[in-house]
Amino acid sequence: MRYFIVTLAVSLCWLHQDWFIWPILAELNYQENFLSWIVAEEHEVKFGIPANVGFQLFLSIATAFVAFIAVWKAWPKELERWAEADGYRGRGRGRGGRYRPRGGGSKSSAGSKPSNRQTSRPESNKDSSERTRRRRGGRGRGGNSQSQPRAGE
Amino acid sequence: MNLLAFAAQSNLPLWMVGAYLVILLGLGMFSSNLFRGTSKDFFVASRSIGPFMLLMSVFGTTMTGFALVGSTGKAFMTGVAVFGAVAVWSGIVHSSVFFMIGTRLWAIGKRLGYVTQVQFFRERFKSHTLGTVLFVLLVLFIIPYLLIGIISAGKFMQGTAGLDPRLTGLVICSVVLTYVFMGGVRSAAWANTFQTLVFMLTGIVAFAMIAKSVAAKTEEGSGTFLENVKRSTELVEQVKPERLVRGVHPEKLNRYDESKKTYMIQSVEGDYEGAYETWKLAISEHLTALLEKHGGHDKSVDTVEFEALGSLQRQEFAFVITELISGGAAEKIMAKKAMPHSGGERERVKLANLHQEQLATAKIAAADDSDIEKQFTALVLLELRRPEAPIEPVAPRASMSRLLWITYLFIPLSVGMFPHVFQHWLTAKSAKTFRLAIVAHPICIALVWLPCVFIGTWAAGLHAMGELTVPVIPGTDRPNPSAVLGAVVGQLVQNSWLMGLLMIGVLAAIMSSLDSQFACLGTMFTNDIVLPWKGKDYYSDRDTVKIARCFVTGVVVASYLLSLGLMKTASVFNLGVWCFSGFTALFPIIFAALYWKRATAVGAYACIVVTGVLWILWFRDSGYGADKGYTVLGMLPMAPLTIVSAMALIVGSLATKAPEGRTINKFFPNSTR
Repeated sequence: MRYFIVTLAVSLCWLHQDWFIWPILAELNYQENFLSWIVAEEHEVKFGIPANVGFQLFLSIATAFVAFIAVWKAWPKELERWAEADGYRGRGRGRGGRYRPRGGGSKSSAGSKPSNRQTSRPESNKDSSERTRRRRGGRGRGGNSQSQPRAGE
Repeated sequence: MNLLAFAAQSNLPLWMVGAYLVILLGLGMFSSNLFRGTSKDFFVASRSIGPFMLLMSVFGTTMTGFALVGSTGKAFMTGVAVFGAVAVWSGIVHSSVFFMIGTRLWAIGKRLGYVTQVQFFRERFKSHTLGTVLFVLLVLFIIPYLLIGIISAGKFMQGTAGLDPRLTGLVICSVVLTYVFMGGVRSAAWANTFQTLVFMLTGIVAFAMIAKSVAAKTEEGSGTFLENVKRSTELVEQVKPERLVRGVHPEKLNRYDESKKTYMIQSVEGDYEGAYETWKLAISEHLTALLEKHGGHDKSVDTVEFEALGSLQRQEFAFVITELISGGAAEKIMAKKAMPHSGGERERVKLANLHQEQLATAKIAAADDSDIEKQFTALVLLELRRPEAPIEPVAPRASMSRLLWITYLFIPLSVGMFPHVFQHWLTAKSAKTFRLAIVAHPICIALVWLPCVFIGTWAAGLHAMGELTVPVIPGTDRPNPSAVLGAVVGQLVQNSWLMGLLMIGVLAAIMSSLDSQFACLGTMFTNDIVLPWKGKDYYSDRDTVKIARCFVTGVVVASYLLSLGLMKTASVFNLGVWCFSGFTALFPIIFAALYWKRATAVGAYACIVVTGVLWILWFRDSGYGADKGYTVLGMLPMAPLTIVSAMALIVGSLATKAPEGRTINKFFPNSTR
């Protein structure tokens, strides 16, 4: 989805360079087809607005629409969880920042597949309840591939 | 009626501005009641600002007085292309920057407790010195930007209400200082929300009223709102069509084709060279005859002899000498020999005046049939005018070249490096708070810019028709773009309420940026200089707030005093515009710090050095900003500046050791790996 959003954003930038559009529209006008009603030359005033301004105004609205799709479908949900996590904990062990959204039960993580490698921690407080940790690679201390709760949890 | 006279007639606009400032102060007092007394609340409003206030405060901060006054003036000079080049680009780029940079910086700030950009850069690049260098640069870049706000407000009120700019500066600085001092960024956010709503409303109301006034000047007269807009724009289409396109208007192309055709015919049929040779012969013969008569034995006329001539002879002699001077090198030498003193500046002016007099007399005599002899002499004299070569018409140019249009993309990138915008981002309650700002920002920009661009374009049409007088730039005969909006309201609408609303709108736009900049500089001095110097735990939280308040006061006082000193110089405006380029050129640092794990301190230093060197070089080359149309390879200077600085950052980073894994883990969420 993120690639699609990036494509849309790049398309907006490309459409913003509108000089290639006017000759195409003029050609459509010449053909007198079903699109003729939207056709205008760059300088033509339609509904009190020059066609080029109307097109740029349309791009502003399209930008808002693309932004809406971006925040709806490509929102970085994990970023908020990462931000809420305690940034100082674990840094001394060279593992700071390795927080992932919890797999199940949360709307924000609906897009990601729940993993059996993630385990929940006791919900002692709000912050810690939203946090899980993942042990990287190899086998866990318990002799299996699943990560284990940290000491004292 | 001019704006000044109109404003002076009625005190209502000033009362409205006074009432607005009182309301703003009241709002500041109210919001300061919400202040929790902690440094976190003073610097980042305890990260508790909701979506609507975040949108309004960030939008208000990014839109300066330029959004109302500057956009109108720019549209007056360039036409509707300004809307696409600045407003639409800003909509696309700002939303992208909020999404990609804003949310991520918020997350890092929240996670690691940062309140300034410098704190982030110091830890991300593991270099205290780099942070200090960036601190100095950011402060240096933001001060002219801040001064422009104070000076613009002063000048605007001087032009519209005849107020002393020093008084205006004092009043707005005091009001802003009061609410920022009391509530910090929280008060700034509340005030910005209010001020942003005010200046958005102002633009729309002014648009409707001005559309009605412009439409009233058309044959159809004014009608409904949409009819007024249509008629006003059609009026421009008739008198100044080139203002309605970014490229070349077909009407202008037609005119060019016609003049090109005339030129071709003249070039082929005119035989200019033959006519010139004939003229050379005729005028040298005429001069010889004159010198025979008046030149004495040395065949020249000195000052005394020239003054001794009769009035008609003097005119005739001056006519011949001036025509000779306008010819080639041989003719100039001939003139010098005949009249040795003709080379001086004073004499030239005198000769030119006499030439004009003779020309006027000869034209009248040539048209008069009653005296055939006089008519014949006049016609002979008129034949002595140097034949003019046909001038090749210049091909019409687009209002804005394609390359320039593309490079406008770089202007809004500066928002990613503005320290005051960074601080507003950190006030967000959660990352989700950004959603409204990301979606609604392009619409808000269009809402503010579109009316102003139309007003500026209509003003260009009315100016061409002679229906609008725009004050000129002192020392030139060019209209002053900054005076366009005031002139339109003053001369067309003549409504005290609208005038008052316009004053409030412009002040709101300026103050909504000023408060954030003041708060931000106070925050930066406290957190980037004092606290690292004394140690984080040296001061209590309450003391930290006190220090920040002292710095905010100091920054406001220093800015005001500086503005007094620089009030009459234009250089601060030129510098301010160039400081924008500086922010944009530093954008690659923030982008790389967030998205490129390989970015290093050396890369950041390389980016800063390249920016500094090229910035100084091009700034000097542009006459220290005096050349407003200065471009580098046909682009806005900030485009090559940013591209080269980004390349320097990449090369510098790749040439040095990659950052430690620990640093990477600290700043990059797993999901982005």
